[in-house]
Amino acid sequence: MNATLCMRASEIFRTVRQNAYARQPCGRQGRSSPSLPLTYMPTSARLVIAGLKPIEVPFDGPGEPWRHLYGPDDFIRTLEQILSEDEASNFGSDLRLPDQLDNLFEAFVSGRRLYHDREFHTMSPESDAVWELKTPDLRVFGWFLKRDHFACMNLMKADAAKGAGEFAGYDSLYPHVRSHIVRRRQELGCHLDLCVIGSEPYDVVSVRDRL
Amino acid sequence: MTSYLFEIGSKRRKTARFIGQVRDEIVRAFVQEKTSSSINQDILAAKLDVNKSVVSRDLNNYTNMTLSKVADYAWALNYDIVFKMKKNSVAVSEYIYDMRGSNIETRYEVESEAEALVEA
Repeated sequence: MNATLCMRASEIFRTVRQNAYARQPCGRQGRSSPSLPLTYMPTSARLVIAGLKPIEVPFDGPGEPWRHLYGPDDFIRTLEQILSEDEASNFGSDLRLPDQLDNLFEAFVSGRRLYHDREFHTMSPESDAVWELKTPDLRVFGWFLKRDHFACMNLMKADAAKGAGEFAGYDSLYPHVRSHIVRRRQELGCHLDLCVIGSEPYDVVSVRDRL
Repeated sequence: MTSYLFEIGSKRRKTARFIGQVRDEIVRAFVQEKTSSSINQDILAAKLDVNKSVVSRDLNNYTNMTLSKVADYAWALNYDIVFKMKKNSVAVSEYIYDMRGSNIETRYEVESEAEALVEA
């Protein structure tokens, strides 16, 4: 049923897209593209069409999760790989890679403050509304569908992203990741109205104890 | 619509999150002091009589600090430590999470929402 549903949804997706008019998109590559007026659709249904699944972590409370994570199948496969490989840290952390991710995801969904100053940056803005969530060993790149709703697109090891460690001599992957995400966001039709523009953390996240 | 549960197991999660929370608390206190006074990593390292790289590693990574090291940071930042054990009231859901493991489960309500849209 899923496959049929997705096929039918993508037909509608294409038709609407062909008849659309341009609106202000999110990201430089979308400026001249046809728009996709999906605002009448409930967000959850639009996420189905875009192929983004909610990512949950066991939540210790109190209350409901404050923020939400989403990712496509390929991102989820990378999560599964991190879980199965269960590697130790290359950067002096006592937490293995899955534990670091659990910490990051829990801090995100629980609504805790995410540090973003020069010395401590769990979260930092890239250009083109692409954001990075980080642990000592891992980098998660994506964008905010709306405030407190993060779409995870890429997960990679820190030394691979930076062109350091065993990847020394390779270029930093940041520019490539950024343009990949901008392109992917555009393909999914999210650049129009499922994308928060802003480079300040409070543009994109709220903090539980501040509200 | 399906969702994905990222699960590392309740025992491991308890350890990892505790280490993370201790680190977060020390960073929170340090950032707060940094904005309200002139403290920085050099001063903190000097107060603790360690190299700055040790402080940087402790604050930037998730290190399994000894209790005495946590106390040293609290002393250097002039903070008190509050530590409390309380009975876990969500033991049942912990068990359920462990039983579910890392899997993809179906959520039909969103799927039917999308289907209704397609039919419309």
